[in-house]
Amino acid sequence: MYSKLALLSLKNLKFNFFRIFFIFLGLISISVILYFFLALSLGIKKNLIDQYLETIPVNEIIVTRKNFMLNVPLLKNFSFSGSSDITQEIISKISEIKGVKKIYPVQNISFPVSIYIDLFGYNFQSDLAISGIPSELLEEDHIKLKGEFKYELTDNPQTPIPALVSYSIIDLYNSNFAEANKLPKLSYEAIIGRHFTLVFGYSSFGAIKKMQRIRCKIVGLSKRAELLGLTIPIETVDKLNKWFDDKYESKYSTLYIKTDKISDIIPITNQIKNLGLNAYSLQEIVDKINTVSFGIISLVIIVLSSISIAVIFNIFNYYLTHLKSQETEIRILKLIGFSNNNIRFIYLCQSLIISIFSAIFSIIITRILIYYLDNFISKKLFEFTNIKLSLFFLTYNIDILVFSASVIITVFTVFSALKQIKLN
Amino acid sequence: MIEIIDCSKSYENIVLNNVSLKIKDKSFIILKGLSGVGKSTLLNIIAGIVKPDSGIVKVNNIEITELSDSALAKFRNANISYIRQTQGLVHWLNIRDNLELPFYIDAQDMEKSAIKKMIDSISEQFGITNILKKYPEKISGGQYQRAAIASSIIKSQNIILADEPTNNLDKNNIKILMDIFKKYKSKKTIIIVSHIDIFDELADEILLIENGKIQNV
Repeated sequence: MYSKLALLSLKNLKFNFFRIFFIFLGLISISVILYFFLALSLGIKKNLIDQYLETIPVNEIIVTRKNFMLNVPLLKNFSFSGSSDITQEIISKISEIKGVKKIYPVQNISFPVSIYIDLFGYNFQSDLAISGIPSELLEEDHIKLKGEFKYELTDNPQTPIPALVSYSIIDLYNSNFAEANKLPKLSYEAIIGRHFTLVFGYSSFGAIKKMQRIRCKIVGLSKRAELLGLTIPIETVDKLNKWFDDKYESKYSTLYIKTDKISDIIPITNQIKNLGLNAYSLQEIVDKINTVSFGIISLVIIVLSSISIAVIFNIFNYYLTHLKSQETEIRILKLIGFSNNNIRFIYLCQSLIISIFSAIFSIIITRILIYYLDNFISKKLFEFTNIKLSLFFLTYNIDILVFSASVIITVFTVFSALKQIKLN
Repeated sequence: MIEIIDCSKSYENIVLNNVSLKIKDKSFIILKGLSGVGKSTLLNIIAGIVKPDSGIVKVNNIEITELSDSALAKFRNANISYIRQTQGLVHWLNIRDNLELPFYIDAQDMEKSAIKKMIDSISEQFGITNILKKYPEKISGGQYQRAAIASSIIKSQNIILADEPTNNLDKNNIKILMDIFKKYKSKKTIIIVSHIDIFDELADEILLIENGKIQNV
């Protein structure tokens, strides 16, 4: 009997196709909008924000000098500072704080350095910032290097210094330098293994008092690397600083502090601040980013829900009008011997057919739309920044969610409309 | 046997007031009265379409006022032919489907071929064979009326109810209807609401509804 009733639903649907087509279109529109923005907001969250956040070491404190500094390279590292530098003494004090697990210092080359680059037949020279970090920090970050991050500085160096570059410098090269000079763009991997020449004690302004030419080899990329420079082993930086200035005393620009527990981060940060240093935790930034992204996703969901409610209300009214136009037929069906449940079944079955087809159509349409749009955006983004990124997040879970929401909402809406119809 | 015991029904006014009535099996009854006195309401109460505010309605010893909606629907499908000639067809079904509609309920005990045979037979009887594939809005008024009557009586239930069956009917169709009633007289229980006298000669009883009460004429 129910198969016959379902057949009646189809016959009703066939006859009233153009009237019901608008409900069908409405459902497709809302499902497409819902799917599209859901995939976009989740894509931005998962492929952009979360991936960025994953690279941020949240269980560490970053300590920098609290000073205002004027650097004049020709006059050595002249600085005017309101507080002391980060010295070995400061590091000892910090290591005594309860909960501090490990301290990784960053030391800068405190004299001018130039780099000679030969890239795709294009030669140029530039001043460069060089910092040094301990190799243990890279191990802690699980960074895989093409070669050892250790160097034995001799009077006549023959082997190249292992160096790290930042992702930002590759992005900067691709989006500015390569673009302007029509040079090939570099992938992150392509830079690894390249050799450059560093001239210690030389700047664009000329040589200073000592000069030494050493080759360097890029062995890897790291977020820890100097943003617009190179990062080499800290021991080498210390030796080079001492080579340039006999009276040089080791001092550090930044400290990365690992704690035993994440809960220790805030109290330790406060204690370090009391030592007259800048100290902050990336956890705070992560929390803020998470709050903002949660807020944006919530806003998207609220806007989509509001649109959905408006569309649902329209579907309800439209279907109610459709049902009211069939009140005579409903009365005839009752006279013939159809029960209220039989009549409800006919119209609910009809709504189920509409919602299933509209959900399938909307999923296909949105997937095609997202496929081409994402390809287009990714291509443009890759051309500009050399970064491969998808702005949309597509899973079968979203398909199931959109499909179920479409079916449940339609059936519920039609059921509510049926309640408004007098069956007795 | 149809028994109506102390039935009352009010809308804005009292339409039926403690009405009691017994209709014997296979009798031919005509209900008369002025417009709005409750003739159609009484017919709908017998069909179980309208529930009385109070009282008992028994059809073939079944108290239909106590039946659930689905039981009542099955009962109606099995026992009652309700002739409806104006707006008597489902407009989104073609004539064949309209004729087949009464068999959608409890159709398991009837073969498809038997249903087809019944449809073909009644179509021939009513001269609607050539319009079976057409939708109600695509046929003439006369064809519509004949198809509506055919779909009402196709299942050949034991009780035929007809509410103003001659309304909007032309002479030919009135004659067809008259022939049907003549054919079924003394074979089925027939209750007709009519304000004209055309069926009076067939009636076993003519009842007049006035001021919410029923009187024999």
